Amino acid sequence: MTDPSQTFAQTAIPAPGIQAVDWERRVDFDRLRAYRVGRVHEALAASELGAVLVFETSNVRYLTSTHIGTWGYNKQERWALLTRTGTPWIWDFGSAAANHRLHSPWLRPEQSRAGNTGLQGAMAPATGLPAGAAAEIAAILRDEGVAAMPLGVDVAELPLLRELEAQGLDVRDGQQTMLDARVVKNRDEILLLSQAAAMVDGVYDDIARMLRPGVRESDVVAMATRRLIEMGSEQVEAINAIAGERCSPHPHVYSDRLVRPGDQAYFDVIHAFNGYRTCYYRTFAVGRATPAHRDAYRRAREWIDAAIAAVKPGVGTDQIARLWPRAEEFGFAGEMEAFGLQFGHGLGLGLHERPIISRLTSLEHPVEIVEGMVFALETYCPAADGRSAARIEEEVVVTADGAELLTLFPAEDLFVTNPY
Amino acid sequence: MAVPTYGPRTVDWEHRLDIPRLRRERLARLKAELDRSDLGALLAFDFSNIRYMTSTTIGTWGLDKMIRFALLPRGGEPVIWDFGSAARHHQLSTTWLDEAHDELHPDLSRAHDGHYGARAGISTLRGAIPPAADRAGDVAEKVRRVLDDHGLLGEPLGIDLVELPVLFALQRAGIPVADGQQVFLDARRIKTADEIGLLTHAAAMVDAAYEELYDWLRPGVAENEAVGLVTKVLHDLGSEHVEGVNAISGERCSPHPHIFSDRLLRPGDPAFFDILHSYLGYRTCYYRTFAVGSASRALREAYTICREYMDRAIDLVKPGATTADIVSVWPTAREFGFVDEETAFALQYGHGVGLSIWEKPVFSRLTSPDHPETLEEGMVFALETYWPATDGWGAARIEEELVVTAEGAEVITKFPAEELLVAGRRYHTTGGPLNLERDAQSQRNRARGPVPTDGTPGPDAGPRRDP
Repeated sequence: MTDPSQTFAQTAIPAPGIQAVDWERRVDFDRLRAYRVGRVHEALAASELGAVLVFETSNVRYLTSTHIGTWGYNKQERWALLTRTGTPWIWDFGSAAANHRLHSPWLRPEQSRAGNTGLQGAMAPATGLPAGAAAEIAAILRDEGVAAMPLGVDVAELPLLRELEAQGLDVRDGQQTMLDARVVKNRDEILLLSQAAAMVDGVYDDIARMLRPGVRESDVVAMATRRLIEMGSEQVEAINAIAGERCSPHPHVYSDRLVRPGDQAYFDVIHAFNGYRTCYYRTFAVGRATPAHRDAYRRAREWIDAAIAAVKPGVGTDQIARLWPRAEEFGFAGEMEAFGLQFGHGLGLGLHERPIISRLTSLEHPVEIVEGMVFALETYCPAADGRSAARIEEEVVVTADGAELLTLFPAEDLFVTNPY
Repeated sequence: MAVPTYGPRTVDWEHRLDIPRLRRERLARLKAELDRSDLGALLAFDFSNIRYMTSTTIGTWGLDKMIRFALLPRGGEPVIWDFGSAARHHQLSTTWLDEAHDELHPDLSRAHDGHYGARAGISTLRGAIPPAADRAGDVAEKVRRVLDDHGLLGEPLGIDLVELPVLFALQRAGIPVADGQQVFLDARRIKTADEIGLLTHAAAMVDAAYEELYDWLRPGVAENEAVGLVTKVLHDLGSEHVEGVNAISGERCSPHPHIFSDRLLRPGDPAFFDILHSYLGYRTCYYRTFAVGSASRALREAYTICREYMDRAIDLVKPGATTADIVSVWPTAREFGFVDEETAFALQYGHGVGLSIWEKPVFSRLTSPDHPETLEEGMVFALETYWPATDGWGAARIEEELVVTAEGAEVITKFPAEELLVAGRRYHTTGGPLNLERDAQSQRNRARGPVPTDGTPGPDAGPRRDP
C-alpha cells in the first residue's frame, strides 16, 4: 500500500502556509479524501468484515471527511458506514446533513442523511430511535450485498448494539480494521500533522515569554488556546499545564495553581488542524533551575534521544521500549502504575493510534515500524527533590531511512524562562 | 432571586456552594437509582458518568478515549481505574475514594494497601494497543474481581458505552451485560442545590464572554478569532473545558452548519454563537444572535419570531407540565423549511444540562409528543429556537437555560436577548447616524427617506430582492 507521493522534495518535512494557493502545491485535499477511503476499502478487503459502522469522531472523519463542532466530539450521535462494495454514508444532525449535501460533493447526496440514536440515552430507547437506526443500517447492508458478513463496529451504546443484533447482524470489533487503514499516513496527512506542530512551536515561544511567577496554570491554557484557534486550529483538545509540586505524580490535568519562582513546569499541547493532532510536551524552569531539575531533564532527554535514534522501518516497538527505564527505576511499582510516562503513540486524526510503545505491552507484543507512520515519543523523569519532574515529547515521521522531527521548539537543554 | 451567583472562591465567612455535599449527594442519587434498578452494578466509561460517580477528572484529552473506567457495585462504594500516575494522584488528593472502602470492608482495603477505590488501569487505547496484549480481558478481569468481592457475580452489569472487545471479554467472563445509561441519566435528571449553583456560575461566565464579544464584533474579524476570544475569556474566568463554540455568520447561518469556520464577518451580517463550556464539570449551552453593524428587515423579523417561540415555551415551564406541552407551541418542521422532524432536529429543541450537554429531559417534536416527560422542580435545561430569515440565508437563534422552581422557572442566561442586538461601531454620515436597519447593499437603501424611529418598517428597509 505504498503511496508514490509519500516522498517530499526536501529531507526535512515542510510546513507550508495553510491557505490554498494557485502558485504552489500544498495539501491536496481531494487526494487526501481519496486516499483515506481507499485505505479503508483495502483494510476491509483484507478483513472478515463486510462493512464498518463507526461512531468515533476520528473514524467518521477518516471515512467521510465531514466535521461538526467539537461539542459533538464524544457524543456517539453521528455515525458513518462503509461497505466493501460501496461508498461512504453519513448520518448527522439534520441541518448538518443538509450542509454536507451543499458543501461536501464527495459524498453522494442521498448518502448524507439526518439521523439520531437518542443522544446518549437522553431520549430513552423507548422512543424507538435505536431500532430505527439499526433498521436503516441493515437495509443498506442488504442492498450492498454484505448483510451476511460480519459488521465491524468501533464503539457501541448497548441499546443500538442489541437492535443491530436483532436485525440478524453479526456484530464484531471494527476498530482494528479502521486502525489498519489509519496506521500509514500519506503525504497530505503528514503535511497537516506538520502544520499542526508548527502552530505549537509558536505557542511554546509565547509560553516561554509568559511563564513567570504569579501566572496561573490556567492562564497559560487560556493564552495558548486562543493563539491556536486564531492560527487556524479547529480544536484544542487539551493542554496539560503542570507546575511546581504538581509535577510528580503527574496529575494529567491543569489547575489554578500560581507559578512560583524556581518551579519546574511542563506543558502538553494537544490540538487538531483539519483533524490532525499534536501531542507535544515541553518542560521549563521558571527564573532559575536547581541541580535536581537539570539532572532530571538530562535523563529524560537521554531516554528520548536514544528512542529517536532507534526509529527506522523494520525496527520493532519492543526494541524502542527496551531503551527506556523500567517502572521501578523511576519510582513506580509496576508498568501499569507507570503507564503513559515513557510512552509512544501514533498520531493522526486520533491522539492514540498505532503504534503504541510501552514496556507494558510492547515487549511481548511488538509492532513493526514502517515508513509513513507518525508517532509521538514521550519521556518523564521525576527529580531527586521528590516533587519536580521533566517531561519531553517529540513527534516523528518514519522515513525510508530513519526519522524526521515535526516538533521544533528547542528542547535539547532545560529552558529557563525569564531568568533572574 | 431563587438562584444566586456566588463568587467562585471558598470563604469562611459565608456558606456558598458546598463541594463535599455535592460529592455526597450525587453518589447518593446514583446509589438510589441503582437500588431501584435490576442491575447488580454500574460500569462507566463516559467522562460525565465517571465524574458523577467518583468526583474525579483528568485533562480533556481523555474525554473520548474510554481508557479510564469506574464501577459502582450495589451496596458498595465506587472504584476507579485511571492512568497510572493519575491513579497515584487520586490516592494522594482524592482520598474519599479509598477512605469509603476503609470503613466498608477494612479487610479488602488492607489487601489493596489502602487503595481499593483508586487504582491504576487502562483499557485498549481505542484499539491502538495490539489485541493480542488483551487489555480488554484485563478490564473484564478487574471488574469481575470487584463484583466477586461484593458477591455480585451473575448479576447484570449496566454499562454506559463500550468498546466491542471489552464487551466480548465481559461476556466471556460470564458477566451479563445490560444498558446502564438510563440509570445514570435518571440519577442525573434532578440537580442538587450545588449542581444548580455550579450551572448558574457557568452561565454567568458566558454572560461575560458575550459582553466581550459584543464589544469586539466588527467587519473583518473571523469566526475563528471570535472562538479564540471567547475561549480566552472563559479560561481566564476559571472554565475547565471550552467544549465547543459555534460561531456562524452571514450566509453560513442557514442551514446551520453547527461549526465555526475562518469566514470574515461583513457589514450587515447576522452572526449567532453557541457557547458550551464546563465549570467544575457543569455545562452551558447558550446561544445568542447579533447583527454586525446593522440588520436587514428580514433578520429583524426572523429574530422577533424566534423570540416569540422562546417566550411561549418559557411561559409554560413549571412542575407538572410535560415536554409535549412545551413542544406543542413550537412550529412543525415544515413551517420553517424542513421536510420532517428528524431533518429539522435540534433547531426547536430543549435538553437537560448538567455534567454533559445532553441530559434528560429532551424537548423535540421528533419524540416528545409520543413520549412526554414530566417536568419537576430541580431540573435544569436549555430551550433553543431557530428561525430562518426570508432572504434565504440569514437566521436567528436563541437559547436560554432554565431552572425549574416550585412555582415555575428561572432563566439563568442573562445576556440581553429580548430584541436583536446590533454589535460594532455606529457609523455616522453627513445626514446623521446610519440606520441600524438597512440592506447590506448600499444602493438598496438610497433616497427613499429615513427609517421611522417608532419601530415601523421604513420604505428603504424592504425585503431583499436576491433570488
